[in-house]
Amino acid sequence: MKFLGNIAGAVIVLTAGAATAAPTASGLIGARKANFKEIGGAFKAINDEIKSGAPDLNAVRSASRELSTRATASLKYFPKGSGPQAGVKTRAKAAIWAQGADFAALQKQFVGQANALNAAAASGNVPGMTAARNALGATCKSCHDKFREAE
Amino acid sequence: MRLVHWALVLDIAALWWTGTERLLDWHRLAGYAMAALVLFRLAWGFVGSDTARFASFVQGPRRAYAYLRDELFDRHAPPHFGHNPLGGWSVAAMLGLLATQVALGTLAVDVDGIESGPFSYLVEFDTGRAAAEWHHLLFNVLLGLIALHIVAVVFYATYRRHNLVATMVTGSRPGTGHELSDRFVSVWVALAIMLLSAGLVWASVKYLGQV
Repeated sequence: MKFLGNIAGAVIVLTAGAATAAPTASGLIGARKANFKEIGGAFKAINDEIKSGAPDLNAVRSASRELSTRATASLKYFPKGSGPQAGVKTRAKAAIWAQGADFAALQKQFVGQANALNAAAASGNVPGMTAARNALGATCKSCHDKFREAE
Repeated sequence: MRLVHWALVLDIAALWWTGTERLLDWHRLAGYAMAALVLFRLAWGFVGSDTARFASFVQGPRRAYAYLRDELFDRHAPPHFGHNPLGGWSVAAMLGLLATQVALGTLAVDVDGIESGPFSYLVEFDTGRAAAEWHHLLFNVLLGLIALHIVAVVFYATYRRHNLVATMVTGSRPGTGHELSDRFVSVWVALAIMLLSAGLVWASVKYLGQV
């Protein structure tokens, strides 16, 4: 009986897994895009403040906090199978998984620089914020150039 | 005016190249030049020489259609001095599209949130991205219009045997009895309007924009 029970359990787990696999990939990719859009929005808000010449520090701080939280959150959005083969519209290239080490290095750099920007914003040091912004922007670009399908 | 036409050609080429190569500092500068050229052309459409005035060549769709039906393929039809009714619409479309491109470009934001147009600080990230996407899409429409424009010029050169390029350089058109526009507004007035347009663009970017 225990043996049959195990089989029944395994069947339930397998069907549940198969049934949720497809919606999970599309849900995950949707959440990934939404997260990166918020990151883009936060980064734009920071850039607009810096460009204005007299940044509103509170605005920069809240955007930097959000950016750094979402940068860390982005790490969980790239499981295997969430690339172009998932059948959902995404610009994530297959190279993300084919060159996993390169991608992971850029992710690490991204999170580190987002945290550095957050720290600079917290301290209110404008030249430091600008330097951190430049470094982070360069990482956005280098990763997009390599791992994101061009528009 | 004819100088402005060739300046537009060069500037569109520059914008295309700097846009594709992502040389966005230069793309912005070339875009400001485009804004000034478009402003000049709009003003010149009201106060410029006869053949440049919108009133002289923007005619109703019926006239354009009549031209298409009766005159376009008629080798013996007398040449128009200035834009013909169909060409007038092509000018209007080209100018409208260039103005739209300038407007979208000032609002555009790149995907990294780094490079952006001078007025993008007024809009949300999503709006700026949408502006960038339209900017990209409409450029292809502009290329289509330019291709049509060139096809038309070649058509006139071969089928109708009118050298429109020479007219666009010298300003005179043999066979129309016109050497230059009947009312030819002074080059100095044109220069003043050009400077005014450039000044207006410069001041709005400097005082209202953020780069």
